[in-house]
Amino acid sequence: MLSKLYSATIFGIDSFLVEVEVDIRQGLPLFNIVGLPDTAIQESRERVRAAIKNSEYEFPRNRITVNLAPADIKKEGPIFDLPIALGILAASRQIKQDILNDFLIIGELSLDGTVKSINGVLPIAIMARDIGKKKTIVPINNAEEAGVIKELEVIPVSSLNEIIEFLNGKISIKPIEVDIDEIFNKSKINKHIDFSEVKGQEHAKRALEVAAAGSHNVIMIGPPGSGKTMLARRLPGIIPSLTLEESIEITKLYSIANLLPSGTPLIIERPFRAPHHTISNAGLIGGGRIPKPGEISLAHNGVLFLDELPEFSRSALESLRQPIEDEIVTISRSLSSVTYTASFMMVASMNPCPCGFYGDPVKTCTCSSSQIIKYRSKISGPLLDRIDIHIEVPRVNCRDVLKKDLAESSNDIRKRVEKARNIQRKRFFKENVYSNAQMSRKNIEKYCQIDSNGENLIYKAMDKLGLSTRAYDRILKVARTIADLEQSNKIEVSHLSEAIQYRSLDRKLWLY
Amino acid sequence: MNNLGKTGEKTALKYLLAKGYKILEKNYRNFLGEIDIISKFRDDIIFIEVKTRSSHKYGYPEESINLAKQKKIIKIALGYLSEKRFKKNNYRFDVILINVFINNNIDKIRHIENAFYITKNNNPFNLQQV
Repeated sequence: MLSKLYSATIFGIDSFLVEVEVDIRQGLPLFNIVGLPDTAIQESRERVRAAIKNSEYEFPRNRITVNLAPADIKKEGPIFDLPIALGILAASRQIKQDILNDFLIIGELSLDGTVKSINGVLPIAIMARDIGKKKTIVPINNAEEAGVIKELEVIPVSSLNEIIEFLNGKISIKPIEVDIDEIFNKSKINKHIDFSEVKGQEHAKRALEVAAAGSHNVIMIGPPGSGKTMLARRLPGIIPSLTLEESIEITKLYSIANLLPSGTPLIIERPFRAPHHTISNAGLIGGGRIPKPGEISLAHNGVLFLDELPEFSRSALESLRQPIEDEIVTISRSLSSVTYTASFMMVASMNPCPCGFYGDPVKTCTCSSSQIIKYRSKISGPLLDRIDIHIEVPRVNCRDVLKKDLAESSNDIRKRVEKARNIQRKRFFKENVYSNAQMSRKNIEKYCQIDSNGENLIYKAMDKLGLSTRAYDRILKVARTIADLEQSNKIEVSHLSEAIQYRSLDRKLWLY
Repeated sequence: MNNLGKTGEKTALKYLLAKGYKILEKNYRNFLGEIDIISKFRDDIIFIEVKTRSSHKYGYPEESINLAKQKKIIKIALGYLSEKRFKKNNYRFDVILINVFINNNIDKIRHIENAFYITKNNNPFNLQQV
């Protein structure tokens, strides 16, 4: 008396097909699960036993062996409760076996037979589509998430009784239908906090517009209370809205990390992650005995805001270097090694010195120069090198704050940013690059040509300000973005000069 | 008292004889304890534990044959095998479950062949699988 059905497990951000085989033999009652199950799966024996009994079906009084194949991949989580229960019922001839093979079945059971929601439904649905499964059975609370994959017929279930009656043909359950356009329209109605609320700081706003247009990393330096955090929080609102592919990429990560709010089948707004500066390395880049995505992955396709950058631990900041370049992060642990996507725009903020008022026109700085040097040296050169735009955010004039008229709204800024992004998309059509910030040396030579006036300017700037050659590349990239914002094919001197002044931390003079 | 167990064992004997089993011992007892029935079928030595219940109020009868009980039966069985010099015979452990109505009428007999075997969990000598 053997039955076999299909389920899935999560590994990293991908999902694998798992065959659940149930064999019932003569013998004293025994219930064994083999196939590298973790503790949650071992415990599923008790849930399955109670759920079957409490759903008024018979739990066989025989020797039951459950195998989860392939037997060499570690499986975790309560995801197999429902498939194991159905497998036992099929092996004991309480439901028909043949119909089960069409489905991919996932779900957690509670003792009374209710089907509970689980993590990682979207990656499983994507896998099901890719291997050509047509139908899935998922917990009702996860059904919309799986329904995003149009090619799948998603059957939502709320209880074991319901699904058994469905499989035995006594009732019919309507497959769930998700209107993706409607979900995306909802996001438009949802109002962001708006740039029009930020009075003054026109210089910083312009710099953030450039950063958003080219997906450049940004650092903001200014005294406390000058609006650094306020500006950063409004940044997602001026980045072009998510495409469906981007949205699915993000939702996959959130689904695995169990951060998907209930009733939200897709993440439709760009993530904005602002981890506290006491965060550990594993919390930032991902990790754990069984690896879980970290903040940089949760900020995928969005903004990672590091407030008070020098307060972060040195090792946490240095661990950011490789993901910033590669846009993926590979976490290797003794049990497994997984790769998470982490293509984020880093926005950092810091005070110019420990007391916060170095260079402030009103308040005097009370720090000694060695204190300032120590504070600044917490941010290493290699990390600073990966930040394209440095913005000084000075104290705001109180006359600007008291002004009644609103500043430019996020919507207007976003329209310009979108135009610039479209230009980039067309330009990099054949390359594996999506924004100016991602350009390689070769791309820079091809797309960032400057005339002799420009060359003169940049050489002078390098000499006078002590800029490094690596800063040279960064300046060209930012100048390219500024030119795109103005819809100019050529990089003019004005674009270059604006880009040069975004390198304030590279200037020797400014620092010491 | 104890009529229930006696009735059950009688029923089990009748059942086994009808199936063509040869009865070697009834209530075989050594210093370790007792095995209800030891029988022979073809060349196999079969150790049988009989469980009789009149209700399932306190759990199913098969649940009472836990690891400790298995260990005990195995111990006695191995003693029996060496005492009678059965060296080449295969042996197995069966359980016969009998449901009885209140007036001692037999309701149902369930014979579990190979109900358990010696594993590292129930091996009384903690040796390799015998």
